[in-house]
Amino acid sequence: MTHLSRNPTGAYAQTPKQRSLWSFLLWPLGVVALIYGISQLVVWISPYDPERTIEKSQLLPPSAQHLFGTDSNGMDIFTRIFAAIENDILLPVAGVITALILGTIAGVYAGFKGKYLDSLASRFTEGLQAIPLFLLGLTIVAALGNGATVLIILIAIVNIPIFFRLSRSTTLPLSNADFVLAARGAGLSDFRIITKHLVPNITVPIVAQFPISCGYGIQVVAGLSFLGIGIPIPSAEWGLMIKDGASILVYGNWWVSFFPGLAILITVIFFHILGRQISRDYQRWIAGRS
Amino acid sequence: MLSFLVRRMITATITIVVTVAVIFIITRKLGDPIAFMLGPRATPEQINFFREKAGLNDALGLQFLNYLRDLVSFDFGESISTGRSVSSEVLLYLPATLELVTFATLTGLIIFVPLGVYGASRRGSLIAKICDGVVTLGVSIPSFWLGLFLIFIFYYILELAPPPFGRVSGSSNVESVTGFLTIDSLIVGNVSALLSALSYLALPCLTLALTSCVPILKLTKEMMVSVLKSPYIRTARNLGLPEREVVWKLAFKNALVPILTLSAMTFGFLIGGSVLVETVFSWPGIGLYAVQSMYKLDYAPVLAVTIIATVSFVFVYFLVDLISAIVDPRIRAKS
Repeated sequence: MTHLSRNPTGAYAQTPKQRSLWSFLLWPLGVVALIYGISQLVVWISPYDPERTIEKSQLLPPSAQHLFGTDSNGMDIFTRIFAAIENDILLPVAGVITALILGTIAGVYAGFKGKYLDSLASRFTEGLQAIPLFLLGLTIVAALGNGATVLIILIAIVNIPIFFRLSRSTTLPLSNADFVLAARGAGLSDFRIITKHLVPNITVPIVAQFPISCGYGIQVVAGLSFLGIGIPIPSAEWGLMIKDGASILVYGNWWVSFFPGLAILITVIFFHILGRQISRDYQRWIAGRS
Repeated sequence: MLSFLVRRMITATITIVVTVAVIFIITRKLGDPIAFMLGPRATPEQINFFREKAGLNDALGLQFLNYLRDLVSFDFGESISTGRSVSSEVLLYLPATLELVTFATLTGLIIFVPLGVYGASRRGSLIAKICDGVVTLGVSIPSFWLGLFLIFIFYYILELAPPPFGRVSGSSNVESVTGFLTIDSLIVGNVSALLSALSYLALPCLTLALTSCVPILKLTKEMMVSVLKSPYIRTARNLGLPEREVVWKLAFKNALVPILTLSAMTFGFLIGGSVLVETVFSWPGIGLYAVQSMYKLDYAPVLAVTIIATVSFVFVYFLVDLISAIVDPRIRAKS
């Protein structure tokens, strides 16, 4: 027999008006847009070009002229850190959004349909997750070359299994819930049941995972660029900037690598806090609704 | 137990075939396999020869089967930069990675298990807050950046650590038996080589432990918090057992199995997950080998390392499941 099933927040899953997945994604995406806007403003105000060297000013320590100093090519590190946001935040976000859409659709469908399709897709994602991330990155770059698109593809590939498993495991207990049976009884198509009745019920874990995956994606972009196979020089990118300072760090030029790494750390922590905030928000909204 | 073993072996095999298929599709279908295996400087004769030899004119299904056969016979082709067989080179570099990863996981356990237990037994205290802070920092900090600044502090400023190049100082010469320099130097009783090997291990181990092992801290704390709430702990406390005994003798035993499971999985993950740290410390393991081959546009080693690391991970995962099933009959029944 069927019974009322609980979704992961502990609220009874039911079909009354739910906020859509997009309305919850709206404000993390808004925050990303805001950060991007600020970064563009800083780059515009800054007297230095992020990709042009300044003559006779290699490896200057932090000062009033160069807040974070200059790198081994004589480029202003402060300006470059802000210019890098385009690569370091927008690329991972694009990759994670791709993964979110594809992974969630596949996961909900597999959880709803079950059977062979489900076990096939589950084995496939398990296989994908077993490949070590940076080695997969090396293989993909070896096969396809490096650049922004390849990084987006890589981040999407890495995150699809995460969103697949999340949405599958939350859909599974719902696929026999009363409201789904009722919708089926009313003669709704699978497509309509999935988009109108199932997806709105599994938004929490997915939206909360979104910023965490973005934070992870930022580390992937920076890590691959640090290895020299991500974003190519002379673009501004945090991992690339750390790589520039890595070999001269042991001569005491700490600032070249220090500030870009700090930027990664702060951004990733920020995304984690964002994720926690979204979960809390959602729970408050659930509580206020009933 | 036998049926569990068989079922688990089938899923592990499927996982490996899937990963190989994914890598096959990426390298053979999406990318150009000729450029991939021979590099961009190959001559037309080389290309034709390779096409025939690698069977690229065969049907795709046949190609995949041949590919699998090569992997099973541990044949990853030749490295175009050194001319030697890739599998023999990987075996040369593998012990360095295994030694690093083993010590890193142990370091993680030594630091994080006591920290997590104390954090859980004193909820709301400073230590509990430190635990949460370490978890957030550990998952957010880029490992290569942490490694660089550990080098900066301990090598450049404090002059305590050896230079970040390799596994042992050039003057110590130890014959390789197991490939683990620490064990090899112990076997021959070479104390100075042992100390040197340990000092070279210290910083990369610490870097990996502080970044990749934080899930151990998180799990330890969460497990202990939930175990400490259970009725038998309350009974023990009411019976007047000292808190130390309650926490370590009664509660910790129940949290131990999941912690060890996670540690084993961290170990499996790190075999392919230490690429960045190996690069930072010039640690001559399989990760650095893959990266340096990549720079020489020599892709066969990259592929070999990726597949070997994946298979190792799946194998460790399989062993962990097997051991948990032997220890705990409930797991056998569940699956």
